[in-house]
Amino acid sequence: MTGEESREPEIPSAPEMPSLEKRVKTAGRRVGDRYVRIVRPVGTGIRGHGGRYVATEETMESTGRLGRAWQGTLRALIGRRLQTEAEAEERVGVETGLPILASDNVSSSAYATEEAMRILAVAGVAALALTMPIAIAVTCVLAIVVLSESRVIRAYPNGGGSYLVARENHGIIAGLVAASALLIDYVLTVAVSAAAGVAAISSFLPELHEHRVLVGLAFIAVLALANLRGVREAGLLFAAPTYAYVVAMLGLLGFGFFRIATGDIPAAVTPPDPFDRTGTTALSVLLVLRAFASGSVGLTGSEAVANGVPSFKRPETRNAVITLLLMGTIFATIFLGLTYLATRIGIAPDRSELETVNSMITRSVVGDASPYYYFVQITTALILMLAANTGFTGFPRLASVLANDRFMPRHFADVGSRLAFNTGILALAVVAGGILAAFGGSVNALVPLYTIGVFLAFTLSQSGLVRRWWRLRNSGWRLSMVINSLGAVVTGTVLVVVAVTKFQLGAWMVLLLLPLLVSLLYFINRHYATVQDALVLTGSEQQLPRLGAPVVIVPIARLDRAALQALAFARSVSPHVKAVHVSGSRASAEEFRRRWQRLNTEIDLDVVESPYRSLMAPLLKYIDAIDKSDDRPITVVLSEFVPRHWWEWLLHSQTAMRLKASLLFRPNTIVIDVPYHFQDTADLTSR
Amino acid sequence: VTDNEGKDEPPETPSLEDRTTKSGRLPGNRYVRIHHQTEFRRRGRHYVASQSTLRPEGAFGRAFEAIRRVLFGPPLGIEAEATERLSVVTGLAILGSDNISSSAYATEEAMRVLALAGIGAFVFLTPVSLAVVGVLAIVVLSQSQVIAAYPNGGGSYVVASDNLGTLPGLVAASALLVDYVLTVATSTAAGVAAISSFAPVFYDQRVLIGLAFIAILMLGNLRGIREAGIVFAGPTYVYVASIAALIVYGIYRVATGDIPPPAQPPQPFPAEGLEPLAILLVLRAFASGAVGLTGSEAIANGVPSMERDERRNATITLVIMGALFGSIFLGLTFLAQTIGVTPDRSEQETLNSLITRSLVGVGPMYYLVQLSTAIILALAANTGFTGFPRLASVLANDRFMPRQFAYRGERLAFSFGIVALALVSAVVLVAFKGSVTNLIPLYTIGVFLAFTLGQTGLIRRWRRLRSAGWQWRAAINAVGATVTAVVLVVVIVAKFAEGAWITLVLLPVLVVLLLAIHRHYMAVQDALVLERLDEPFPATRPPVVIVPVGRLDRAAVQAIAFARSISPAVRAVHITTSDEGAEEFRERWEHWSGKVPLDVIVSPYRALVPPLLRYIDSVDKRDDRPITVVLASFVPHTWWEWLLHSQNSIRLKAALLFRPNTIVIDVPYHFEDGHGPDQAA
Repeated sequence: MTGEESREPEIPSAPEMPSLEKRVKTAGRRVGDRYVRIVRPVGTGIRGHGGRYVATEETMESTGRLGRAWQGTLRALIGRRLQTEAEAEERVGVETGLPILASDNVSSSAYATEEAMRILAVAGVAALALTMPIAIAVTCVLAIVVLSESRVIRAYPNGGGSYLVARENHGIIAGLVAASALLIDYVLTVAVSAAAGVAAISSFLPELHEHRVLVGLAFIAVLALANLRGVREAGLLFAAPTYAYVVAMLGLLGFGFFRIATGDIPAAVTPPDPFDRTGTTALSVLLVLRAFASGSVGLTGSEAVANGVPSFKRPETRNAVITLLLMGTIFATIFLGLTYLATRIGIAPDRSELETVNSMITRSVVGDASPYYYFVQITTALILMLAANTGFTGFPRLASVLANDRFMPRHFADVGSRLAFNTGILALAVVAGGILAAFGGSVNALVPLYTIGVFLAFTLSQSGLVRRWWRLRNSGWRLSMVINSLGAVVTGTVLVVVAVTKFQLGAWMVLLLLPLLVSLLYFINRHYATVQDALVLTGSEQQLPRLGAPVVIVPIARLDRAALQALAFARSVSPHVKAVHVSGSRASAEEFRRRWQRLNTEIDLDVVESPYRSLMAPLLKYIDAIDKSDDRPITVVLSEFVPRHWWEWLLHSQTAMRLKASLLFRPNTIVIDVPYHFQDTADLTSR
Repeated sequence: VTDNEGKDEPPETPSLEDRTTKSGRLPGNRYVRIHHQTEFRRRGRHYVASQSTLRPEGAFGRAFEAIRRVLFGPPLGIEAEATERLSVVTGLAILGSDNISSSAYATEEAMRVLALAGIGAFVFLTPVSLAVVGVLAIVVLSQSQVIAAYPNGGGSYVVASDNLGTLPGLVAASALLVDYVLTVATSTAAGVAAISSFAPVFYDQRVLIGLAFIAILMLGNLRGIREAGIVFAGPTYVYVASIAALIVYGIYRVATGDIPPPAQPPQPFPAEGLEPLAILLVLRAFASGAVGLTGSEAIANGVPSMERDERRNATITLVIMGALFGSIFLGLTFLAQTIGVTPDRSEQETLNSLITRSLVGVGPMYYLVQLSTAIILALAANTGFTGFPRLASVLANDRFMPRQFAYRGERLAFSFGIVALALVSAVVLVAFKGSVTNLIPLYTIGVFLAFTLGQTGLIRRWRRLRSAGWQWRAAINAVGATVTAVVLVVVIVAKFAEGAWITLVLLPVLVVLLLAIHRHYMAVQDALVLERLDEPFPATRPPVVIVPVGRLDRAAVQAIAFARSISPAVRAVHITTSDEGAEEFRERWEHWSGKVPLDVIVSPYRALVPPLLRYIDSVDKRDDRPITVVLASFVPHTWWEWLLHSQNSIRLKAALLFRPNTIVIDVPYHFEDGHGPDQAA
C-alpha cells in the first residue's frame, strides 16, 4: 500500500477536485523522470486556464432543433450578440446622438406655435400678435434650461439627469419624485408620439383611422425591436427623418424670409373652421399665462440629452454639450421662424383641429399642391412618430440607474446580448401600449397628462443644482447659482401654471400616480435593503461553517431502480440515511418490509401506515417529527422519474414535485432531486 | 465520552424516537428513556399515521380543510370500506336507477317509430315490447352468469379481455367509458328538460342548471357511495311506487271495462301514416325500444360495492331490477295500446304523461308521477358516476389508464375518476348545448357493443371450462350475443347519420390511446423493475459537487458549507461579464477564508446559463463520478417578492433537469433565517 503511494506521489487533493484541466502524468524515459501534461478544455467553447476561463460565443449555441430555430429568429430580428467590450463602439457621436436624443425636442416645433396660438385665438385675432413675445419667452426658458442642463452634464457626466441631481442635493424622496415624474413622462412620450404619428398618417390615409390603436401598437412594437437591436442601429434608423425634417423646415423658413424681404408677402390661407374674429373671452393675464404654458410644450424632451450622456462617444461631456446646444439652436430657430412667419403672414389656427398651423404656413408660402408641401408634411409626420424613440432611449437608461440604486427590480439593470436594457425596453413597450389602448389612441386625451412630469423634474434638478453650487462654492458659483435659480423659478412657475390649467383635463391622474410610484420605488428599495442586510457577510463570518454530514430522509414509494439510485446517492453523501415508506394498508406495509429485507443494504427503514390513504400529509409530519428529535439540518432525497415527452408527465403522479413544492418553504430543509431518466435505461437495454 | 454524559445523544441515523440517556445513581448505571411521537403510533414494526397528521397548519389551510370536511365529510379509514358497501335496497337505487328510469321513455321511443306507418302499425307494439323484454331477460340471465363468474366486478371489460383477448376488452371498455359519459350528459339534459316543462323559466339557463346538477352529483359521489345511495334511494322508490300504482289502477279499470278515453296529444301523428310498414321499420322500432336495456350492465360492473355476500346480493338486485323494468315497461305498453294513446309528434308531452292524464286526470297523482319521473331521470346520471370511476380504476390497475384513477380518496371514493367524469360530461353537455335530442343518437351503441363482446366472451369461457351444464349456458349466451349484436347493427344503421358516427370514430381513438398508455407504463416498468432484489447495491462514491456562486453572501456560504458536508470534491464557479468583475470577485474570494477552489468564467455576451451548462459538460467529460450541482436559492417571504429577484437558480434548475446523470441540490436560504442568529445572539 505504502509502496504504491510512493510510486504515485500525486497531489493528494488533485484527483478529488473536479476541474476543467486534467493532469496526465507519464513516466519519463529515465527512472524518476516524470512529465505532467495538462489537458485543457477543447471543443467545449470555454477557453482559458488556471481557474480563469472565457466563455466564447460557441457556448451559447442551442443544441436542439427548436432552440436553434428560436435563436435564428432572434438573430434575424435583433441581430448578432455583442461583447461587453463592444459598448464603446455602440456609443453615438454628435451626428447620431442628435437624432436619437433630440428628435423629441426638435419635433415639438411641429406643434408648439400652434398650441400657443390656439389659446390666444380665444381672445380674438388681435391677441395673436402676442404669439411672438410668448415664443420669445418660451425660447428664453429653453435657453435657461439648456444652460442649466449643460451644467448638469458637466456636474454629472454619468447620466441619470434630474433623478441624480435631485437625489444628490435634495435627498432620496426628491430624487424619487423626479425619477417617477420622468418615468411617467417617458411612457407618455411614447404613447403620445405614437398616437400623434398615427394621426398624422391617417390625415393622408383616412381608412387607417379605424385601426389607429392597432397601427399605434404595431409602431410601438417596431420601435421596441429597433431598440432591442441596440442604440447605434436605432440611431441610424432615426437619423434620416430627423435631418430631413430639419432641412425641410429650414428651407421653408429661408424661402418665406426671402419672400418677405423682397416684399412678396404671401396671402394667408384661411383655416377650414376659423376662430371668432372678435374673440369669445377678454384678454387677461391668465390667458397669456395659459398660452405660455401651452407653448412651453416645446421644452419637453430637452432633458433627454443630459440623461443620456453615457451613451455618447468619448469625450462624453463635450459631445453631449455640443448636442444639447445644437438641439436648442435648431428648436429655437424653427420655433421662432415659424412663429414669425405665422404672425407676419397673418395665419390663424383652425378651431376644429383639422389642419395644423404648420400646414397652413407651408401652403401659404409654397402653394397648395407643390411637392415641397408634401415633403414638409411627411417629414413632420415621421419626426413626430420618431420622437417616441426618446422614451425608448430615456426610460431603460433611467430604469437601469434606478435598478442599480436598488429602487427598481434588478432585471432592469441587466444588459442583454445586444447591449441594450432589454427589460426596460420591453416594460416600456408593454406599459405604453396598454396606455395607448386604454385611451383609444387619442392624442387629445393624452396630452394633458404630459409635460407635468418634465417640468417637475426640471424644477427639482435645477433647485438641486442651486443647492449644489451653494455647497461647493467653487469658482463662478454665483453665476451658476443665478442661472439655476432663474431656471428653477421659471420651470417652477410653468409647472404650477400647467398643473392648474390642465388639472381637470387629466393632469390629476399624473398627480395621483406620482406618490404611488414614489412609494412603490421606496418599497422596493426597502425590500432589497432588508435582503442585503440578511445576506451580507459580516467580519465574523469569514470562516466557512463546518457542517457535519446531514441527516438524510429518502421517501420511497416503490422499490425500483429509481429508488435504488436515490438510496445510493443518499448513502454517498451521508452515513445517516433513513428510508421511509408510506403505505395505504397494513398488508402492503408488511409486503414492503419483506421486500426491503431482501435488499442488500444496511439502510434503516420506517414504514408509516396511512389508513386515510393520504401520502403527503403523513410524510411532511414525519419529517417534522424527525426534525424535532434531531437538531441537524434535514435533507430529503427524492427520486424523480423524468419521462421522455412532456405528455408522459400526465401518466405519472407528481408526488416528487408536490413534495418539493411543500418542502420549499420549510426552513432548514434541503431537497435533493435525483432524477431518473427514462432514456438512459432504454439506451442501456438496447445496447 | 464522559463529556456526553447527561446530554442527548443524537442517534447516527435519524429516528422518530428520541432517546435520552441518564446516568443512574450508581456509577455505570444508565437509563435510556425513549420518547414516542404522538402523531405516529407504533404498531409492530410500523408506524401508523394518526388522523392528526392530516390537519394542516396555518389559518388558510385549516379553513380550506374545514370547507372540505363540510362538503365531503371526515376522512374514512381503509377498514371502513366494508361498511361503505351497498345493500340490496340501496344497491337497487344506485345501480338500478338507470335501467328502471329507461321505462319512462322506452315505450314512447318504440311507438314514435311505428307511428310513422300510421295507427294500424301499433299492433306491432306489443310484439316489439315483448321482444325487448325477451332480450332483457336474456341479458339479465347472462349478466347473472357474469356476476357468478367474475365477482370482482369490471363487467364486460373483464369478461371480454379475459376470454377474447386484450383488444376486444379495450373495445368493450372504451364503449362503456363513452357510454358512461353520455349517460351523465343525456340524463342530466333529460332531467333538466323534464323540470323546464313544468317551469319554462329555466329553459334559457338549461346548460347552467345541467352543469350545477353535474356538480352536485360529483360532490355527492365524492362523499362516498353509501351516502350517495341514501340520497338517491328515495326518488327511485317513489317512482317505482307511483308508476306501479298507476299501472294497477289502469289494469283494474280495463278489467272492469271502464276504459278511459285517450288524452289527445298536442300534435298527433297522421292516422294514415307517412311511410309504408316495412320490416326495417319494425326493426327500427325495436332498436328504439331497446334503449330500455341501457343501464342493465351497471350491476354486473359494480359487484364489489355490494355487501357480503356480494354475488348473491348482486344477483338478487339484478333480478329485481329486470322484473321492475319489465313489468313497468310492459304495463305501460299494455295501457297505451288498450286506451289508444298515441305519441306527440312535436315531443311537447311525453307518452307517460298522456297515459297518466287519461287515467287519473290532471291531479295530485299526475304531478307525483311526473315529478318522480323527472327526478329519477336526472338521478340516472348517477349510474355513470358509479360505473365510470370503478371501470377506470380497473383499467388503471391493468395499466391502461393513468394510475391516478386507481387511487382512493380520503372518503374511499375514486376521486380522480369522479372529477374527470364530471369535467368531460360537462364539456359534452355544453358542446351539445344541453339538448337531449342531439345526444341520444350517440348513446346505446356503447352498451350493446359491450354486451355483445361480454356475451361472446362468456361463450368462449363456457367452452373452455366445460363445467356442468356448459352447453345450456353457452346456448343462452349465444342467443344473447346474437340478439345484442343484431340490435347493435340495427342501432348503428338507423342512427348513423344522426350522430352515431361520432361514437364510432371516437371508439378506435380511445382504444389506441389506452393501448399507448399501456405501452408507456410497460416500458417504464421494464426500465425500473429490479429483477433481483439482492443484487449488489450501487457503489457509493462521494459525488463531484459544483457550486455556482453569483455573489459571495450568506446564501452562497450556506450552499458551499452544505456542499462540503456531503463531499470533499467541491468546486465553486462564478460567471461574470467583464475582466474587472472577474478580478474583483477572485480578490473577494481569496480574502474570504472559505478555501474552496474557484473557477471564474468571463461571459462577454453576458449570458449566464449557457456557459454554466458548457462548464458542467466539460467537468463531466473529465470525471466519471456523477455530477452534483448545488444551488443557493433565495426564498422570499411572499410570492410578489419573487419578481424582485432574478430567477437564475430556477432557470438553471430547469436547464439541468433534462441533463442525464446530474443531480441538482437546492439549498434554500430563507429570508427569515437571516434574522435568526442575530436575535439569538
